[in-house]
Amino acid sequence: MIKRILLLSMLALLAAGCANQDIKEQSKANVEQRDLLEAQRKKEAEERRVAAAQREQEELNRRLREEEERRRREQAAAEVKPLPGGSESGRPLTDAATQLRDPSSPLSKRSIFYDFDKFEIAGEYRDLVDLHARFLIDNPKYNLRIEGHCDDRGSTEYNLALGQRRADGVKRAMVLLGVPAGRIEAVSYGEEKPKALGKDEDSYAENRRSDLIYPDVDK
Amino acid sequence: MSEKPISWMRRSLIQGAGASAALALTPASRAALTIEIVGGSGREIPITVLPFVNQDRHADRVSEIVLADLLRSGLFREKSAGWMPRFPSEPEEVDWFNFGNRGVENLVMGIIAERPDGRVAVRFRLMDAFKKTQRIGFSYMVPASQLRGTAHRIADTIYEELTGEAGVFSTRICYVVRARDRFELHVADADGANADFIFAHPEPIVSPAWSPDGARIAYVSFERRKPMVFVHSVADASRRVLANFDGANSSPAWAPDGDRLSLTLSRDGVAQVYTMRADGSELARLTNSSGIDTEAHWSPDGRSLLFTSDRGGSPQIYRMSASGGGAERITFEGNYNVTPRWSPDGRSFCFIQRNSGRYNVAIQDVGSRNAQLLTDGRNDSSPTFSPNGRMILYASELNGRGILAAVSRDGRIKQRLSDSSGSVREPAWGPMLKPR
Repeated sequence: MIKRILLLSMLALLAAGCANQDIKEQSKANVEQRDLLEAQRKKEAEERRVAAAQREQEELNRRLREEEERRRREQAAAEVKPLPGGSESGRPLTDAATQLRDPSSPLSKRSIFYDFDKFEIAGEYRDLVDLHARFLIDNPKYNLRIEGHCDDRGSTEYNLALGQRRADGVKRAMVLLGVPAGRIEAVSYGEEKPKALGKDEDSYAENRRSDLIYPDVDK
Repeated sequence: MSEKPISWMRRSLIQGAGASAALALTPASRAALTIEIVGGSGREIPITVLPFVNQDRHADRVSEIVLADLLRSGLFREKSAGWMPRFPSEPEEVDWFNFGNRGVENLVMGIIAERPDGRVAVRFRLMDAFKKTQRIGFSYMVPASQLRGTAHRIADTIYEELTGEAGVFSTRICYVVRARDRFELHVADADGANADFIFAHPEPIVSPAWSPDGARIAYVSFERRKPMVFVHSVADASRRVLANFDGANSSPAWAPDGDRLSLTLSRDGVAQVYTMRADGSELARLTNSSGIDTEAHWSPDGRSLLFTSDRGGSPQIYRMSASGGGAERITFEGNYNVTPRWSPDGRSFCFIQRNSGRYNVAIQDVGSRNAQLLTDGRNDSSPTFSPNGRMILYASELNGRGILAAVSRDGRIKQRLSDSSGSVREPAWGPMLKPR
């Protein structure tokens, strides 16, 4: 557009310049003017071709993006299915994260519960500890944070020590199963972060727990 | 400075005895202090505190603060002089005949005078109305902003003169308020006034402990997503990390000399008691057991520590030398005895005991090992002695909310303090400050 305006103003200048010249010079100017118009037509045709090619490319890109999106969706859908067998090493990160998040996956269970003033892992949670230990071994890029908690009765400080003992107990079990100790952080929140706020045995039981947290997935 | 509505309640252990009266004892602008008196043992010392001359020119009315302090201690009862047409400030202005006829025994009078330099002179006398003589009297020259503190000092002086033990009205307390979206470490006067937080964070704060000089508070903060011990200067708000080892760092307690602290670390496995200097150097392990050892508390002479340990299968209280070595179990009743705190005279300690599902404050004599249950709440915790040993402040619950409560060492006097802005817990009573 700007080019065209320039061209027209050049023509206008030329026309103005011709006014006082003789005929010979005027016909020479006419030839030059014809050449200029010819050049302009060629240029416009070229611009149209480029624009058409650009539209074509954009259309192609859009189709490629759609294709990619469809492929990704299909892949994600496929990965939700539980995988048979033990080893899942070498799988992409998104796969492992899906396992941890999927509510139907056993790895989505993340709490071990305790009796009052107890820190031993009850038999019913052995499989859960095994499963997460195996996940950590198979997915070396993931680290685990274990948070020990207590109900809010009794001593704040004794509960802080008890929560640490609970978290440390889970960590020790996983290290025995082969997880490098450096990949597990065991911390205690004592009675400071209750899950249930009620003042009844059900609430207390829900608060006496170790939570397994994967910082990369759970934020 | 925030003005949080805080209310103290007082009642005797003997419920239903005597008349009930609610007295609003502070100016309406403050609306902070309400004392409820239910019953009474009849052994309180009668006290008459006349309005100080000129006190209405100031927001803090000295005579009302003095009287509120004395009544809240549970050791006094008010003998009103409301029948007087005008109030004297000097002994020669007193109509002694009228006082004697109306049973006034201990009479407090005073006057406030403004000085050209902006300070105020506060003078008070405690008179024996029977003998018509002065028992004690002082004058103070203070900035007008310190009238409330001066009133507490006057109350301390009167308390000591009439009871023989030091008053604690000038001391401070700290506690943790669980507000809607954060935890706040508050420091307040012993009567709950002048409450303000010195530190706030969305992650929990627990176990504050005053240094013996009252200048610093050590506490546990979870601000770095794990329990670490910090030391916080009350005056200039500077703070530093004292302990950040692997695992949990908690339960700070100052040695009486203020040079060392004990604390609980899980760096070598299960929680054990360690000591270090206040600058963080010279870490030494004090206990060596396969169970949890925590909540160490230094005896007033600095020679031995009480602590909680579950080495015997259930949490019980043990005593050991401050230089380490063997520990002796000293609680045997029940299967949950925790949080030992020495009395300031070193002759007894208070702790939390579980009794048929309830957690209550108890006190045990060190020599005889006789123990007495002092409270009856559902979940009482974190007991802390007043520096004169008379009262034990502790965390309790009321309608599912955390409140502070206090009980006298003999169980007769009970008080309640609540902060309307949130749930209150983890109290620690500060030291007696010198000079008075």
